[in-house]
Amino acid sequence: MDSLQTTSGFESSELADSNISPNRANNSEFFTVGCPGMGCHQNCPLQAEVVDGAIVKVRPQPIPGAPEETHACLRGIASYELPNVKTRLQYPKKRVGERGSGQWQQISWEEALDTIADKMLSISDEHGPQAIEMAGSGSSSVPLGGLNAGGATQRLANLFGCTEVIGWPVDGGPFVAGMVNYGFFFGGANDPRDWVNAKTIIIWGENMAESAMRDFNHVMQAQAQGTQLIVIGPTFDATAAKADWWIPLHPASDGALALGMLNLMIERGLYDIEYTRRHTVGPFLVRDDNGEFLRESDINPQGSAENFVVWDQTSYRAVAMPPRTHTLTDVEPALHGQHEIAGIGCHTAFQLLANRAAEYPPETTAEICELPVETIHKLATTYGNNRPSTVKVGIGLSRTFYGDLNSRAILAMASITGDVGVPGGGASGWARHYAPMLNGDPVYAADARRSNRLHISTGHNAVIDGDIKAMLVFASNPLNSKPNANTWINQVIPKLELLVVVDIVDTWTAQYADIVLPGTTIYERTDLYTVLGCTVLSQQAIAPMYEAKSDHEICTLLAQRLGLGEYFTETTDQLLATMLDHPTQTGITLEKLKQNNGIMRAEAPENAMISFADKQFFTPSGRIEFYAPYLGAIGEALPCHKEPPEGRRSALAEKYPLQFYTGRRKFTNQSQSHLSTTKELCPKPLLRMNPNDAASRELNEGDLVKVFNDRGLLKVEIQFSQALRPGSVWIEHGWKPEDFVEGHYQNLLLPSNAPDKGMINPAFQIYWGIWQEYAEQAASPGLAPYGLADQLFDCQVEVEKTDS
Amino acid sequence: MEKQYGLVYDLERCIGCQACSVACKIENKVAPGLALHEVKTIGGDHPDTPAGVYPNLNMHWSPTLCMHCKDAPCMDVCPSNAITRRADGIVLLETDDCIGLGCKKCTWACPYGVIQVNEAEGVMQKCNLCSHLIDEGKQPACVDACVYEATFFGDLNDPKSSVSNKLLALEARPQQEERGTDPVVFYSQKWWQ
Repeated sequence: MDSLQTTSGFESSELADSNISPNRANNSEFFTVGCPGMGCHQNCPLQAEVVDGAIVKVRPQPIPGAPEETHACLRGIASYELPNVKTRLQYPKKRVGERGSGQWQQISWEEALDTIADKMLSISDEHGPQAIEMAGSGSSSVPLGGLNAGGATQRLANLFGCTEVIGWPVDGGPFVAGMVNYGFFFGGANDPRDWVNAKTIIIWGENMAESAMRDFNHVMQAQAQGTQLIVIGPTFDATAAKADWWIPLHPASDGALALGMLNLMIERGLYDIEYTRRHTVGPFLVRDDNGEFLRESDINPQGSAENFVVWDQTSYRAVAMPPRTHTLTDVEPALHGQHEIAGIGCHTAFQLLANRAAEYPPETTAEICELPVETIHKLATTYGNNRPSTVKVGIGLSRTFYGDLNSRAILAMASITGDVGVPGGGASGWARHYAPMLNGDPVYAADARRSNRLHISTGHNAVIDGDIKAMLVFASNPLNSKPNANTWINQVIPKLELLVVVDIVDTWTAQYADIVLPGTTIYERTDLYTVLGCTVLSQQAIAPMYEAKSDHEICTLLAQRLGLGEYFTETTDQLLATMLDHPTQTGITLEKLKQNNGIMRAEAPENAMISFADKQFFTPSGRIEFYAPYLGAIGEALPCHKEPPEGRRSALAEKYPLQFYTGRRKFTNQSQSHLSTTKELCPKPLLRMNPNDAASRELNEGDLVKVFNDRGLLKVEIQFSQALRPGSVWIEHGWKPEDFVEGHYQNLLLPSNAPDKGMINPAFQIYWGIWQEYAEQAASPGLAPYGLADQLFDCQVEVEKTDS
Repeated sequence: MEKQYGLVYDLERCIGCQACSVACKIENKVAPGLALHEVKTIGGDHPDTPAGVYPNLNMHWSPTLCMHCKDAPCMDVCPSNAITRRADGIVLLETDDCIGLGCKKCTWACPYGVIQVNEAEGVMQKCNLCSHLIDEGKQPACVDACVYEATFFGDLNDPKSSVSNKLLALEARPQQEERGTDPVVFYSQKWWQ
């Protein structure tokens, strides 16, 4: 079914009053559809049952070749009503009052598109096309990477020369650490089917049981077969409830805990000497004078500047070690020690790591992490002895100012165990099945000039600075998902000459738009994505509701008005066929997908994928680089613990003693709390607070309270919960301003890059400098320079009772 | 031998995700505010809060629905025979036969509090174990929705069925056994330990 053709002949009144139809019918049709996502990135293929043009039920779609991954969580099941939700945007509308006044006038698609195109052209004439920003591929349009989840908007942005905001907002910690240590953001963890082979699984900073339920099934299966589950995190959530051992550490002290464990592991010999020697930078000599790796050319004028140098402990001499080499005949590289080579004082990188770890003896670690000393001992011994073990680092680690340092410490700890690249092992933020690739470039980039690219965490500054004059927001809700919504309302949006929002429902951001356009849900369009070794043709199950149009159709109609119509003549089928033209799409064509129920398995490994099984890491040295000399200038060549600038130990804590943070729960991952069934289970926001903190403030259960700091305020009811670490208050992410008595939590949270630009973690300036090539090469959404989480949980507040 | 359908829950594997409750709600078109299937938290005072004092905490979940008792007190008190037992053991409440809000006797008789009052329709409602799906050879919606191997459904009279095996393996027991209503919904040890 071609969504373009279906939409064009569509009368909006036909389905306007269609109810969610009865369940029992004999004329059911079934469609394979990618889960609307809700932002969990599990991307489960679903099976939608359609009766008389309406979705009546959603079940899991069986996964060819991986039946154990057949899955739909409550969010997926409840998503059957997504096309019919009350807040659905039904027709194009334009603002007729002040921005945010709620005064709208319904307009035709013609008028809407003409107005947008005229404005784009006039801004482009005056300021250049890069003054128009296309912000898209937000979570409500996942699965990412398809034609409508960023594909069509990228194509238009590239052809017109718009600015695109790239990167994802929360991926600072474990992914950056993956890049530093393994040379790959997503490397270092085996696929979840392998977790059953682990003696111990550590879930570190992630509520997997609620946010990535399909993965958590593998954890429970492993537990049933004897694997020990250790959960590290401050909150007693569903994941902690399932743990064999829960480590309730102080927020943002993760790096100290990892270094404390590392210290005891090295002290007690609980590491793999041979692996550390062959597959980490451990034996490489580091110059005392400048912190760089000693190169062969430093000690021998004829030597190569590429080659590293190790100390051979059998012949007592320095030996050059080329990159991507693991052993040399008759050479036994020393892991420990201090050496002087050709007058240059050096330490092995491993010695430096050991010295760094020694700064975290158990007592110090216990104090930083607010854990009993015995816990540090027992944890180090347990993890140190249990080979192999899997460490799954969560996005929670990204939500603190030094999330990269904390995650690097964890990966450094894991690197000396020899577990990375072996079954039952791995240490990373990303654990996924093999998935075939799509040939996205010709679709995303056409053959045209490239868009100007800004990182997501800094993008709004370009508006404040006057470089961006118009913003087209596709399926994204920055006000509800970016920190400090007040900055957007008061400083970003007023600077825009044009704000267009395309979405399926009315959002906080849409309320401030000049023109709002109704987009399609994934049930109403055809798209393509890959997951679990399979390629999925996400089939259009129902006609677009009301006047909704897909991103692809909107971009096509805009392109025609921008003089770019010749680049938008291909049908959906033609574009999807192009995307399937990739060597990993073995035997898969659009025709075959249609014949095979929309889902086919590519030539994918039958067993769990072991990341870096060949131990050929993608770093320049080919080894795990726990030592990063390029971060030496800011004292972070090795991971360490740093207290976040705002936190319970900062000066601000005197005025605002409580740490406030938000989290994903099972009911909704992002700001999509509009499904009636899940909303019934979780009807209103409640501030969770430990009864201890309530007692000292004379607060009672159910009191209306004011949560505030210098950035903003929020009025909400409180509920007591022992799950909260004393000193912390919490609310689930996803609520809209109208759900609160007053204010919103997005006004409280700390942006990692405040408008004064003084807040940025300096490491990220360095990362962006050295990883620039990724930004330039990246044609796919999201493969942009990673980095900074743009919203931190280093957020101090005070809570007071209020009457209204 | 006649069938006797029943359920066994492995609470070790229940993460309280509520997929079962949501699937029930959708399948049975349960009115807003009513729930024929709930997941109760075994823990603190509120849903999804733990028992204990930080950091010594514990929390489990228990799917709760009509227990389809073999000796169902609700059936005994119903004046209009709206509640009957099928040959396969399902205790069925036919809303068409319910005499409505003036009676409510079944809701008082049920020791598990799982019979709901549908004020808008003026009838009592409870889980009928998706008998309409069972008649099509399918599983109840809540069972179908559980992908965590926490829910087992089948014929308790068949010693080879997965539900019979799990009943033994988990040493599962009903809630409030002492009430003597002989329920056919069983819970692994977490409930009664």
